[in-house]
Amino acid sequence: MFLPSVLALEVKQSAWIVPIFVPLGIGSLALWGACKLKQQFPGLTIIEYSEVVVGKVLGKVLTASFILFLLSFNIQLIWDTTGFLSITLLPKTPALILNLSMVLLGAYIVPKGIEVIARMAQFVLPLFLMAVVFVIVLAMRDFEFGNILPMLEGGVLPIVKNSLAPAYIFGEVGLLTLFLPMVNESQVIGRKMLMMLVAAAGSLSAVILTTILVFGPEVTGSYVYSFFALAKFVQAGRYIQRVESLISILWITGITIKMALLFYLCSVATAQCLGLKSYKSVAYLLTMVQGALLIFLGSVSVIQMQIIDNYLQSIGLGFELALPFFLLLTAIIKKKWSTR
Amino acid sequence: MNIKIKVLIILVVLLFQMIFITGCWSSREVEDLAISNLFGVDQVTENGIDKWQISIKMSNPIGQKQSVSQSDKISGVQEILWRGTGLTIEDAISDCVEHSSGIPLYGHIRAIIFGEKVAKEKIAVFIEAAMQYWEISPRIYFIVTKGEAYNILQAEPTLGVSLSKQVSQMCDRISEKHGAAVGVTLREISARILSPDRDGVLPQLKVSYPGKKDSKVTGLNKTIFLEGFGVFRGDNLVGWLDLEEARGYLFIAKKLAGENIYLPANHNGKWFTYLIVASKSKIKTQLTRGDKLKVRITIQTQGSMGDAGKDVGPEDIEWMESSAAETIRKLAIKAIDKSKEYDADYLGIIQNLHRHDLDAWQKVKSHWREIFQNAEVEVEVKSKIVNTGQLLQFRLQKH
Repeated sequence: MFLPSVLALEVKQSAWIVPIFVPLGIGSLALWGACKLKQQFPGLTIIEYSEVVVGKVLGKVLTASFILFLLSFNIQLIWDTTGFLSITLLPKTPALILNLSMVLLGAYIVPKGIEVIARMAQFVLPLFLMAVVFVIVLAMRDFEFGNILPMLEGGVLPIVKNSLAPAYIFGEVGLLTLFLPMVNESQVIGRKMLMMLVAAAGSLSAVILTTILVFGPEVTGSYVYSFFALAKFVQAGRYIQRVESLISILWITGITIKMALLFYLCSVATAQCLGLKSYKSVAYLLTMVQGALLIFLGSVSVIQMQIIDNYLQSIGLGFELALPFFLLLTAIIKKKWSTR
Repeated sequence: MNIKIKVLIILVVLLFQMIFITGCWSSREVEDLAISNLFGVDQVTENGIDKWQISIKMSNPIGQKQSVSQSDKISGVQEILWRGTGLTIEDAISDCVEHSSGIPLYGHIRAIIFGEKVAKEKIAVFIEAAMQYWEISPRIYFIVTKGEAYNILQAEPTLGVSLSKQVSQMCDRISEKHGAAVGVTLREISARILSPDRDGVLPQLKVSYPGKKDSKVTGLNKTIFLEGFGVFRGDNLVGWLDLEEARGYLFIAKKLAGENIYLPANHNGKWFTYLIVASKSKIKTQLTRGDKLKVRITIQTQGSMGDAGKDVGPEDIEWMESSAAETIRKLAIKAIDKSKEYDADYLGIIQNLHRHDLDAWQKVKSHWREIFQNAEVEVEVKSKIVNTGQLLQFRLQKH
């Protein structure tokens, strides 16, 4: 929701090109790494094989920091979502109520298991895509094709330099290292995930392109949530107007699924790290931890929150991409060393 | 789990749900809303201090149909005008709405009118605030007026509609159809103000006073009409376009389709109406070696012939077309001259150079206004008459 604005602010009219280069490449690399690790350690998650690769102590340290990253990533996601709700649809509702509602919803979904989360996604994704396509179609009559000219005004460098935020999102594919062992038909997952990555990059690019074609790069960069502003702008005659609520509701539903998935992965990872058989008790414990942290964040200033956001973005790629590759490389070297 | 405990849990959940589904903090009942339709924004000086003045036209639900006599006739005012002042925009709005018992709703605003002083100095501040506020749609119209916007909001509506509806109708289509102005939305004006290579315009609302020489209506205290534009250089209002310059601007900068601009044209003292139904233009820019900008503007119009008289036949179409083209060319040149006079490129000439010749733009980026001032502009107009609109009997009489 905020990515078109962030990119248009820096890359101007060429912002729509950003997702289809470096972020897609990073996502594909993370996917390749996850698939290779799965081949090396079939049936094991990153939590289990990290101890095998780098030893018990270092393995525990790595997995503990990975769990902390997942936890903070999920808290940041909840915080950003309620921030969006507070600015747009529910300005009078206390942020704490929205935050705690999200956490409680997560606590309800997570113990039901990964299949429930997958079925939710199956149900919501077509609705969300239809709503996005609906907005794009309505926006077509206001397209000003001159808005994307001149292409690549600042060259390729701004596109590469501003790829961190979308690369962080696409790098989330690296989290596959946690739930690949739970997936059926894991032979075709690589191909399917690659198709999903291309589709995600394409749709993100289409959303940014539509926003720039209607608003121009300067206005797109000025709005915090420019696609939300676009949903407020589009209309068909006097009959269909102000469709932003539809977009917001579906977007929040999608975010809820992502939040539930991260919460689930965090619970499973913690349970595996501690050697527990069931992750459900961990999920309940994490609900309380997340609730407490969100209450604490309520007293954090905007500037401090910005620092946390930037910090997470920079360490995010480390856990999504660098950690799996480090483990893969170490495993390969160890294997070659032992065969000698 | 015991079935009794399950039922108990479901009952507790349902009971709690009842608390939440009745509404939450952000809920607003329709009957409690103070619906804002039209905004006026001014800068005024009170006791030597510059202040924002906000005037709001709000819907008056009981004014829609109020029984004042035995016959249940429509009377009362449809909209109430509120006014407030403050050191900041929010302060002025809060001063304005604090006396209304309703909860303010700004999502229904159709247009925002700026007084001359605020348009000259602080329009960017208000635009930024409007873009930040979640209820405001980027599709609302922005308008400018000479003097105070509050004066405009005191005018009486015509033809039984509310003032806000009249303003929105004028911006929507009526003015464009008459070639007097065109509605400019928040999206467009914010894009122009933030643009590194183009200036913008806002349509001008004028007041018509009965009894005065230029009055266009009788029987009302004062009414409003949309005609001409206010010209912005960056985010400052620098001047105005009259009706002819406004038409010139429309022919160069806008693609008009299905419009009905009535243009009186003449040839050797013979007057006729050229009724324009479609118009489009193309701007071509070229930067020569001595950093001289050459601009070629081509305007193509299609239209029909109106009230030319019975003595006109197909053989006259050619001179009528060239005469209409010459009239349009003169209007376009007026708009270009005014643009140079105000040093404001609202026609999009430099934007065209930026978009189509990046190397040239890099060269002139720092001093593009100077380049625009010295640009050589050539205008070519091709006008076509596609329909004579004459009655057969009158044509037969000629032969």
